[in-house]
Amino acid sequence: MNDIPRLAIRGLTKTFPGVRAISEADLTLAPGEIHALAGENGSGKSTLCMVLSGVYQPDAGEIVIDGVVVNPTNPRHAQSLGVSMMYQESNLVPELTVAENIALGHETFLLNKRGIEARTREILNRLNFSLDPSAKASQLSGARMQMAEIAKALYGESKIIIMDEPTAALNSQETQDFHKLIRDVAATGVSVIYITHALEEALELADFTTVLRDGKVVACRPTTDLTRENLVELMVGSHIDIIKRPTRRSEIGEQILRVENLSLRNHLTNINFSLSRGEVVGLAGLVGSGRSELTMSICGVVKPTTGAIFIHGKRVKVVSPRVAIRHGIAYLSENRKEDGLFLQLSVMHNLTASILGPLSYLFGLIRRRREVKEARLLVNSFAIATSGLAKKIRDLSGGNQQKTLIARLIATKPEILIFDEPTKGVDVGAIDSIHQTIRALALEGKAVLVVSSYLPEIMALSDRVLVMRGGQLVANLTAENLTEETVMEAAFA
Amino acid sequence: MLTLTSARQSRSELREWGEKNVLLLLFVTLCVALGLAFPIFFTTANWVLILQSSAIVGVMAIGLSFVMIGGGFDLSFAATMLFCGAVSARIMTGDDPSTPLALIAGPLVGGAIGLANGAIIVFTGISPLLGSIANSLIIRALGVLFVMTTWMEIPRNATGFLFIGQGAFAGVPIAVYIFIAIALLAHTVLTYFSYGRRLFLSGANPRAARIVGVRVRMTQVTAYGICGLCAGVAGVINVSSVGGLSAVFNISYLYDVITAVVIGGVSFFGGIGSIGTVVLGILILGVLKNAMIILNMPHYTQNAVGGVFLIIAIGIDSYLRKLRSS
Repeated sequence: MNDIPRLAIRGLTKTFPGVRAISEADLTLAPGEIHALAGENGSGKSTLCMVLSGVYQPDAGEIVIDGVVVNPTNPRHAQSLGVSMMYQESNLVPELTVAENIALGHETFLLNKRGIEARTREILNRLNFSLDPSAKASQLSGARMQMAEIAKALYGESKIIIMDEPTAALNSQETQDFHKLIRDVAATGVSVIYITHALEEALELADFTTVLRDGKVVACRPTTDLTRENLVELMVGSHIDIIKRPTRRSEIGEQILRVENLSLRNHLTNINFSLSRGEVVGLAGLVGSGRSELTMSICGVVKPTTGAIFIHGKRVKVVSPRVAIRHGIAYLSENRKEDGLFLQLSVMHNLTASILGPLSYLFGLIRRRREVKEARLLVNSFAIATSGLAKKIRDLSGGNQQKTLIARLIATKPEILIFDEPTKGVDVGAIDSIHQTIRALALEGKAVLVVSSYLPEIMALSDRVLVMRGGQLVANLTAENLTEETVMEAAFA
Repeated sequence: MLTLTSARQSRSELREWGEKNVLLLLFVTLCVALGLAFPIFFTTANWVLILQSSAIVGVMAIGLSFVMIGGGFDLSFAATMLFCGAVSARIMTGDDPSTPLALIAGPLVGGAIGLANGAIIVFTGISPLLGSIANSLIIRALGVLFVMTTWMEIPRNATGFLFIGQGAFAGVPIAVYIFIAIALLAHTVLTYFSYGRRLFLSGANPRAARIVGVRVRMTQVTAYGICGLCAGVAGVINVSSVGGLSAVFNISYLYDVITAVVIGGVSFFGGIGSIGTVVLGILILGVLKNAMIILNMPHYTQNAVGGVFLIIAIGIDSYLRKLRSS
């Protein structure tokens, strides 16, 4: 074999407004190498792959393929350079046959159906894939779909295939088969970059593993030198401690909320937990582990398939967010724009949206003075920076919009507060004030559940941490055994 | 912490001022120009005509505004108006005519039709545009089958009933008073009552509205009911002013109402609108139609001009939405 690497990345940097997604990343890939990328949510794995596959353009650094500096400007261009990407979910067109799908994007002006099928068959044979080129994509199992995806990448003469959690939708037998396929493909000289959240998978499959943390490459080692433990350690590292863990914890009081055997089809299985007065419970887990679905099921946004919710020991049917509010449950969605803000309405109308009932006389006449008074109080106590109550909320900064939404929750005088990613897309100053608010709520004797993808946030806020994985609650970590490592251990399979 | 920040703010304030007052400026300019061009424009008789013809369009425009603020749309109100007019006419031409019953039945039937129309659209989740067209066909057909006859003439001696559409007080037609009363009531409900606020929330962001505890679908269905009610009122005024009703009555009101509402700044995308500007939209359209009549424009040319105005108004609405989201 020659010494020129298939792919070399040097000093790659990509910045988004306010975030440095990847910072001076280096990576080398030999022909036929399987290279795993590991890291937490938001560590920069996806951004790195998006840059490679031409979705994003880097701010700095270079990409060298077979000794030639390239600059992929879009996914199609990247493909012509030999880089193709496979996503978690199959992108096959269900109505087309396997062969048509594989040739998609490489059609000549007049379709040469026989030529396409012959070429497809040749690729499938070379890979030793048992796949019928004339079968409809809609009839394929998950594993076979992934076979077709690989064949598709090779049809376009790819030299590098990036796979983003390709086994997420497969069962364990299919996963085993799929691993064999990848080894076969690599044996033909194609290099594979493999993103996975299942650490065992990386350890078993990859020749090399690169670990990313906060956009930086923290390690690149032969996989044989790694164990599960030091992989986790590398991923977590010692986070820059921007959030101080409060020393004084509130008194934990009696249980308020209890969730029993809660399930939501395809998302949650048999969730059991409880919340007590005065505690902040962190809910950790990877993106897609079911955290948001769990919060939505408790707050009446989605209807769980089975299970029961008890408040103060009494069973309640939370059929809608309206009922949840009546039972003292307040919910902050992770999607500020879609599920929270009324962009074209005023700050006051956004603040009082949940308390129109209590603010009104009989027949719904709103007490104007009370409303203004209430809104002004909320603006002041949450330090929302606005030039007036009549100001449209879309003209406020992200941090102030978020504070407005939190103030709206508090206005309903809830006993249970559920925050899904409360500091997402919020500036540092507002993050601090939101954290203080959350701790203060616990001190007042409320029960608080906080979902966050940012582990340091979970660590700083929580008295107790629940960890989800694949729709199940896999850990309940109390102060004695609560460390970043134990949370990560539980979150990764 | 009430602080003044950045130029971005004053720009948005200017935009708001413009959005609020551009219609008033347009209306005044239009009136001045027409007054200078045609001496007949500023006569009492002409203004009575403008107001009288605007009243029926106006009542329905207010109903449609409710639906659109709540994020829906309706094309069935014209059919409902016809149906309710026919109900009142049937009562007045029957064996036992009763003016109070005819006046109450029209709007009530309209409200019921509106609720049914809204329930079908909202609970099935079909496109309001297509759903209301379908409902409009059904309403028209039911009207022709069960209520209407080829020509129903209100008896000349039913002076009470005819007063609604033909009478005047202090020189101003009764229909205009009805329109003003409905406009004031609508403004009050939208601004001072929690129902109005919930309607704005539902239209501005239905998902968020549900999460803050608004019964979005109920709120929206009620808006369709209000729209039907207004159509019923308009139907009664119409029958009364014409003095009868024919099954082949044309429904050109449909386009006038939509044009007036859209000129009046009610967004097709929900959550934006005010009765004040809708009233201005109605008056602007009324004055324009009046000018076209003074100019003796053929009927079809008038329709074409109306179409052009509708396109401009919708274009401005879409443009403003783009501006807001950027």
